[in-house]
Amino acid sequence: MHVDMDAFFAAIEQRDHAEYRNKPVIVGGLSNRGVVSTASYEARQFGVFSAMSMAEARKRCPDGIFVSTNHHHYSDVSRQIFNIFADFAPSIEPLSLDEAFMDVSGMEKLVQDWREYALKLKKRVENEIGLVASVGIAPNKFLAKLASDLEKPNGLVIIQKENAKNLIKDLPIRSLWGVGKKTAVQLQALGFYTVGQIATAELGFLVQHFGNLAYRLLELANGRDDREVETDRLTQSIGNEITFDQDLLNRTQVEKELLALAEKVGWRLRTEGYAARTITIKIRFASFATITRSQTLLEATNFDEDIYRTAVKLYKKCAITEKIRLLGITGNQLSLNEQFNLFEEDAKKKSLYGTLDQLKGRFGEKIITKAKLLNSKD
Amino acid sequence: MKFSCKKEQLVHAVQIVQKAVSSKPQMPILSGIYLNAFDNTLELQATDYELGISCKIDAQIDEPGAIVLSGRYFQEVVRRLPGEMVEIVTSREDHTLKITSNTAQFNLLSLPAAEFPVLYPLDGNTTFKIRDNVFRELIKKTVFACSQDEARPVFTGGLLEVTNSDVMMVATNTHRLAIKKEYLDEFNGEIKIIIPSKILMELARIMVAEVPSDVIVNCTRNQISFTFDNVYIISRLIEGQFPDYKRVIPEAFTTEIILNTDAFSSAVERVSLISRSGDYNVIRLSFNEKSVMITSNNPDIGKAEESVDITLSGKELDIAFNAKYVTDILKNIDSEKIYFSLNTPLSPASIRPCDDDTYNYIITPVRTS
Repeated sequence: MHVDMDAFFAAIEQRDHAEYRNKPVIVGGLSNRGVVSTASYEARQFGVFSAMSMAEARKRCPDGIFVSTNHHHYSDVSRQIFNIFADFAPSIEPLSLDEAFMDVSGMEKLVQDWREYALKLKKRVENEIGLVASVGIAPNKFLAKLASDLEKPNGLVIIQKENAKNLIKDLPIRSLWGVGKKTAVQLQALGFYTVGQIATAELGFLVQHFGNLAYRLLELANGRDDREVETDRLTQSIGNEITFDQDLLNRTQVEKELLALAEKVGWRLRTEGYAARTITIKIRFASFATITRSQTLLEATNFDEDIYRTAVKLYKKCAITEKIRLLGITGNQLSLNEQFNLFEEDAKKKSLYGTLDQLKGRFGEKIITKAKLLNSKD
Repeated sequence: MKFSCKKEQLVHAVQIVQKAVSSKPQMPILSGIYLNAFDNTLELQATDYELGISCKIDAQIDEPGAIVLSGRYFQEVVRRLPGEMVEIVTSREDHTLKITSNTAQFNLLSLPAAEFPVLYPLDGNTTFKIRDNVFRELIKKTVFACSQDEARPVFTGGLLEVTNSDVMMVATNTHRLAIKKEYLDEFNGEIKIIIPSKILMELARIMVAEVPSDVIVNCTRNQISFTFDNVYIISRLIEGQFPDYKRVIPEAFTTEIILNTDAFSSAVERVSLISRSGDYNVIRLSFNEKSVMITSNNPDIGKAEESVDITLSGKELDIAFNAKYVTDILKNIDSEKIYFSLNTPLSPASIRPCDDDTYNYIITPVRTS
């Protein structure tokens, strides 16, 4: 079973503000350089979609209600929704704040009527949270996700094993999990436009062009998918990035922003109990050309200064020929384990960060920061 | 300059000094090996300013002189020469040098010898003598525990601490610490210096004389030299304060275990085959009265477990370690049995040979999620 909230961020705003209801609401970064996170269904009629630039959205929907993203609030709501999900399936795999796979296999004896079961879930989300969810139930993850999307908004689709193939055969190839822009272009160049066309293709032919991906394509196109619902999928990386109001060129400015990012990433790593072995920086230039550079450390860290030092080292190695539009730092190769230390010096550092984090936890992330970062925009 | 010498000896000398040839030289001359022929002796030198090595061999000198050659090419060429003897002659006109051995002949370009920073004998106030086999033992039993992290230099070297006739070497990367004690024949006073691990490893590699001989050590505030056989090594010392290692050695333990070194070592190595190398190589040890169960669990690969018989006195205990930190020490213990002494799953433990109280290893556990 796959559950997906309809226009999640926008729907929350509409729920919280009666005056927004039935009106086009657009949630995202509000500056002209921002990006749309979610558009309400009313806004979608104006041709506004997620990931569109805010400037474009304003052009297409000049009378829309533009709201800036409030992640903290959305994740609170998300937690409430997941609490409801937990009553409906033993294992849940969250995909994002508003979307999850739920493994209901083995519950056949408990549930007589799947449609009724899904309606019960939708009803609870609506009554308790005041939001609308779309649900898809199918024999596997791929089909379930497809199903939840078929009749969105307020959708409920159940795909039976027997008619799965028939149902998906006319869908565009992009509906297949793992087929992005590039693969789609390649597939179209070979004459594949629908899922059904791939389903009947020769495996050997596909392998020639797509290598290992070929097996998955053929399986999915035939409505087969053996991925399990992974409840304890580990966090792969923790990162933050920032798009600037004005492009940066000055090295001091860049280093200052890296420091702010390092502080954010360090704090997030520590609060979630992780240490990162690899630090990656991302730089997007004014021309939108984007580069990433990473370094694996000798020892995993979650200290701001180690993250900052590594980030600056990586930045200095990059050839910077134009202004910088966006900077990001990510910690990868995360570990929940902690190797102990023999000497006090490290214990002191740890207790210092412990104190900082306690302050941040109680009074908010902005309560304490480096002097160098004061006077910045916020 | 003109001389001839035995190829085997020349190869040996080149291999000794080669470690000091700079791979990324600050100046071109430092990429070379300096040859100096005088008094029936050929001296080879190389230095990267951090480390300098000189080695002397017997040679028949027809015409004394000095020259510098590309270290990389000289080493490759000499190693592969076909004959038993090598003859080397310089030509004044075109700054080249001719190497002849049996049927092979090479003409190599040379660098001006006058530019080479010739090594000088260190003249520090502190000097002592130590047997090369004793010194090698100190190094081999500890240097592996050093850190590679250049951001914290003191841990990239071994601490050499002499107190009258006691000599200790201590090395740590802050997560584990190795300590070995030996004795000097004659010394009065105190020395406390940190020697770069690179130099220590080099010394252990070079000091392989069959008959034990003396190494004369001389040091100043920031440099140290070693003289033995036909070799002279000079190096910088690591400056900074080595933390008080005595404080990290636990005074008492609540669990004392005796284990067979080989059985434990090979079991840990096997189980750690599937531990996550990117994530501290975690293995769990569950000690009960009769045995220890060693397990590892790697969600991406699978699981492993093996049990080894033990003798336990005190409390039973579950604890996790970085497998590498365990196998590193076991490889260096020659005794048949070891003591493994522990307190809690979150406090440092000690591994040491049963029949040798001059060697100790402190290891910190891993807190697992």
